[in-house]
Formats: sequence, C-alpha cells, structure tokens
Amino acid sequence: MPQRAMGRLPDQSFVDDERLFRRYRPNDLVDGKLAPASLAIPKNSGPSFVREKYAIPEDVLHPDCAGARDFSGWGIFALRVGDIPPQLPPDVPTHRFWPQHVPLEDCYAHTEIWCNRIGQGQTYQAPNSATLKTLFRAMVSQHLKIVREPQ
Amino acid sequence: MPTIAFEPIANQKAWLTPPTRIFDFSAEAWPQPFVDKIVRSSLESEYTQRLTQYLALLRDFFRLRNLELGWDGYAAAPPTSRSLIRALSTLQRLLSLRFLPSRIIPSAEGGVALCYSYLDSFAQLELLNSGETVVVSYRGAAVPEAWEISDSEQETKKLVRRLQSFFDRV
Repeated sequence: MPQRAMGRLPDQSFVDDERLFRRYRPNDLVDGKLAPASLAIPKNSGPSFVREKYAIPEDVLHPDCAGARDFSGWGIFALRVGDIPPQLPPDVPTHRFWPQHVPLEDCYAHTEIWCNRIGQGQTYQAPNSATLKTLFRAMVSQHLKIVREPQ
Repeated sequence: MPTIAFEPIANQKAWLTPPTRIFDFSAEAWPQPFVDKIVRSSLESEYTQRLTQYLALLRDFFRLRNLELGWDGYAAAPPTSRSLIRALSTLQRLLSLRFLPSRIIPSAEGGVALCYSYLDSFAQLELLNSGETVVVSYRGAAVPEAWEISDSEQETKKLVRRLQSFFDRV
C-alpha cells in the first residue's frame, strides 16, 4: 500500500543512488530494452515516477499511484537519480533536468523529472525542441533497469 | 493397314482419375529430401524473410490504431491518423530500400516509432503527431546523436545510408 501524504511536505533531498520507478506497457520492449519512444516529456508537468525513499517498486502499479487505474500486469523499470542527465545538449547546454518531489495525497512518493532553460529558476518548462527532448529520452533509456517484467 | 481397336470405357470414373503412378503431384508422392530442400530454401530466402518481417511489422502497426489517450499508463496521446499514414508510407519506403525496422511501437510523445536494435546499438525513427520526424541513434552508454529529418524519399534514402553505416560498424 503506497504511503499517503498525511500533511507531509515535499522532500527535495535526493541522493544519486536513489531509484525512481515507472510502469511500462507489456509488448513495448525492443530486444528486452525500453526504447526512448516509451518515455515522454509532457508539456505541463514532468514525466511521473515514484521515488524509492518512500515507496516499493510495486507502488507504481497500485491504483493510488496510478490515477485509480489497475496496472497489475504491467512491468516496472527503475532509473537512478544519478543517471538523470543534469544538462543538455552536452556540447552547449541550454536546459537542465532534476528530480522534483511532487507528493499526491494518496501517493506521497510521486516524483517528476523537471526541466527548464538554464537560469530560469525552479519552474517546469518543457523544451520546445523535439531533438532535445529525444536526446534526453534516449539518455534516460540508456540507463533504465527493468525491475519487473510484465506478468 | 493396321486397325486400332478402341476398348469400351468400362469405368468412366476411373478413366477420369489422373494417372497417379506416372504424374503424382500429391504431397505424399514427393521424395522427403526434395520436400525438405524446397521448404528450407523458401524459408531461408531473403525475400521470404523480408516479407515475414514486413507482415509482423504491419500487425504491430495495425494495433496502433486502437490506442486510447493514456495508453502508456500515464497521459500519452494515441498516434493521429496523419502520423499513422506517414509511418506506413515510411515503412513501405524502408521495405523497398531493404532496411526494415525490428519493431514498430507507439511513441509516448504521441506518434509512431520505428526501432532498430542490434547487439548494443539502437536507432529510432519517430514520426510525431506534431508533424516532426526525429531520429536518434546510440551505442551502449555513449552519448546519443539526435537529429530531425523531413519525410521526403531523398531524406529516407540518406537516413538509410547513415543508419546502415552506423550498424555496419557494430
């Protein structure tokens, strides 16, 4: 059962070895790996995860952390916080990326990867460039580890 | 002058049956090693393999039409009919260029992704609902390369040459 927020504030302290978990759809693996296409950078909020500090991997399939939907047969992958590329593109960085704890009432562990233009404070702003987004998604998928195969 | 005597046809049905002892085309009549050779060569032919791969990709492709909003368990949009048409036309071009992808999957960004994977090398051609086409390739944990292309036949040919050379270096 995922931890409820119970009035707790967000905890923005992350260590590099902490893992972030996310669910994935059966049949979306390509040769046993998640393709960059399986990850998105939405326009209005960062891609969702649950963080290991306050969750077990299976929490990401629980309806409380999944918008009341049932994902019991789906797979789970993990991303180490230290594997989030901090700035992109590598040669002349324009954007930075970081984990942001965004607790939900029924899912305290809910976390997003946020990004914005370098120098624009702590607000979320998705890159406009499809190439930059793809680069980020590819760098993330290079480091993903499957925690649970779809059942 | 000799005369030819025609025998009356005693059994009309038997007469109409093909002379099986001379020209027997039934499967049982073919020598097994010959049958094995035909089957093996047809399965091993590049044409059959490419066709089988294309049919499997089409099966993946037609499944994309049934996706709904949030199909990825989050908020991903399904591919639009425009991106589906673009993906199908690209797939046909890739078939004629003999460079079919390993998989077709939906893109969580909204669109269709054609994926190539060989050992630790990976490439993806993503046809987005926004109308953009983005390619990314990488080997292992090396820094990926990403670039945009247009949907023209020339660009597809150029892309195929670039990816062939990328995978040839594996």
